[in-house]
Amino acid sequence: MVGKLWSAHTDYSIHVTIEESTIYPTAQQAINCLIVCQWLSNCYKDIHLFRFDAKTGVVYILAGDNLEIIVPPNDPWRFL
Amino acid sequence: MKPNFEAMSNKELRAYALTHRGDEDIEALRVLFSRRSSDSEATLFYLPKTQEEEQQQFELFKQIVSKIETKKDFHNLEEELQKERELEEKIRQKLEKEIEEELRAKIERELEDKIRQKLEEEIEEKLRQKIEKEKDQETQS
Repeated sequence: MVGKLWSAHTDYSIHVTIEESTIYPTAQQAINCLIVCQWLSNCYKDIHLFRFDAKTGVVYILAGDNLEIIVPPNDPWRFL
Repeated sequence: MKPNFEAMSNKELRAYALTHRGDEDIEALRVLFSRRSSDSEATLFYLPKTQEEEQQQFELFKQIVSKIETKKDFHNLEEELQKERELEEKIRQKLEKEIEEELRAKIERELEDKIRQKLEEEIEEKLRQKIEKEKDQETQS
């Protein structure tokens, strides 16, 4: 599904500026987010909230009835 | 005013995050994040390197999703049961009170009847005695 994507070299142009410090989502994080969203969709789970925390760089995803997933910038993603 | 996120339960934090999307509201998610289990207890998903690995991870993902949702269903069921039990207890207490009041009224009525009857009997007895006494006095005179 995402084989091509994660082996590709990705230069990220998305960035967020908060209080003089700029946090960039990482390429690994973006791919992980794509995997998570695709898998949730495959399981017929609605994604209610998707948020990139510009201060910590963490992505929060709330989906389905009670599913909470976090996608950190460089670490593996996990359920909360 | 900013709510006290630390004092909120995870359920409340989730509900808050779902209904508030402002810049400051992300704090609710940070608090939720700070309460996560340790990484050693969690299942960590690394970038899959092969199709097989990706498939394995997806199976694991599905298992975790179903586990979390079953847990929630079970939790909801428990909550419903608890509510039912509370309702039952309330009805029982109300019924007990009603029955007690009814019984008390009945006992009071019966007691009153008995006392009245006894009093009437005593009065009758005394009257009879008095009449007999007067009759005796008449016959003697």
